[in-house]
Amino acid sequence: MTELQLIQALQQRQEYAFKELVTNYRDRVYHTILGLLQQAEDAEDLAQDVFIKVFENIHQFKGESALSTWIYKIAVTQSLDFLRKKNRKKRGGTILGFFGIGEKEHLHPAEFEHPGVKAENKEKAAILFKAVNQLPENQRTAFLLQKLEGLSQNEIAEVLETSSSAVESLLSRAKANLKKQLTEYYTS
Amino acid sequence: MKNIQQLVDETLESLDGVQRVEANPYLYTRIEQRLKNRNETLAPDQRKLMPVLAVALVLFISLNVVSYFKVNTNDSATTSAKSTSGVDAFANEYNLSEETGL
Repeated sequence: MTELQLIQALQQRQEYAFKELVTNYRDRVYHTILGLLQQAEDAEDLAQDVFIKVFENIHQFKGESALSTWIYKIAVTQSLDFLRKKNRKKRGGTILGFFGIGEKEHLHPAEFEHPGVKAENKEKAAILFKAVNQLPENQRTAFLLQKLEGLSQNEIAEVLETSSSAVESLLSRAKANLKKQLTEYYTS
Repeated sequence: MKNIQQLVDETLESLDGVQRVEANPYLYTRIEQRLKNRNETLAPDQRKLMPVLAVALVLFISLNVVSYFKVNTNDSATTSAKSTSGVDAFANEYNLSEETGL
C-alpha cells in the first residue's frame, strides 16, 4: 500500500489502515517520545495518545509534508505538552518549584539509561542525557531528533515548524551549550 | 588519563549509532481497546442526545440571565417610585414645598 492509499484509507476510517499505520510507525513514535520523556511507561502511554490523535485528525492532513513528518510533529507536541504539565504539577507541589529552583531537574528522572545505546557508551550517554535536559526546549528537541531519529535539518524544520537555517542555528547552539556543560562536569 | 576535551567529545558522540528501541508489539491492541472503551462510555443514543442537551443548557442559562436582569430592573423601578412617593408624603405632612424654601 502506498502512502497516499494509506492516507485515503485512514480518512475513510478503515481499521486495517490504522493497524498498518501503527505497525509502520510505532517504533519511530515510541523511540522519539522515549528520548524526550526518558521514562518508558509514560512513553508507552503517550505513544497510544499520539496514534489516537493521528487517527482522529487524519482528515486535517493535507499532504503538505510527508506523513512521517506529520506524525513526528504530533509526537513531539504531545511529549512537550506532557513534560510541561508534569513540570507544572511538580512545581505546584514543592516550595522549591515555587521559586523556580531545580525546575529542570524535576522534568526528567535523575539518570536515564537509553536501552538502544551500545553497552560501552551507556555511562557517557547517561551524562549526555543529563546535560541535554538542561538545554532550552527547542534546542533539546532538535538535538534529540537529529541524534536519535537521524532526521535531517529540513525534516526537523518541518517538525518544529521553522526554517532549516533556524534549525542549523538551534543545533549549533545546542552543541556549544552541551560542550560547555560537559567541560564543567568533567573539570569539577 | 584522558584529557577533558577528549571526554567531552566522546560523551557528545555517545549517542552515535544508537539503536531504535522497539515499541510494545501489543501497542495496536491497547490503542484499539482504549478507543473501544471510549466509545462504550457514551452509547450511540447518548451521543445523539448531546446536541439536544447542549441547546437545552444554553436556553436554560439564557432564560436565567434574562429573568435576572428583568427582576433587577423592576426592583430598582419600584424602589425609586416608592422612595419618591415617600418623600412627597413627608413634604405634604410638614407643608414643605419648593416655594416655602424649607
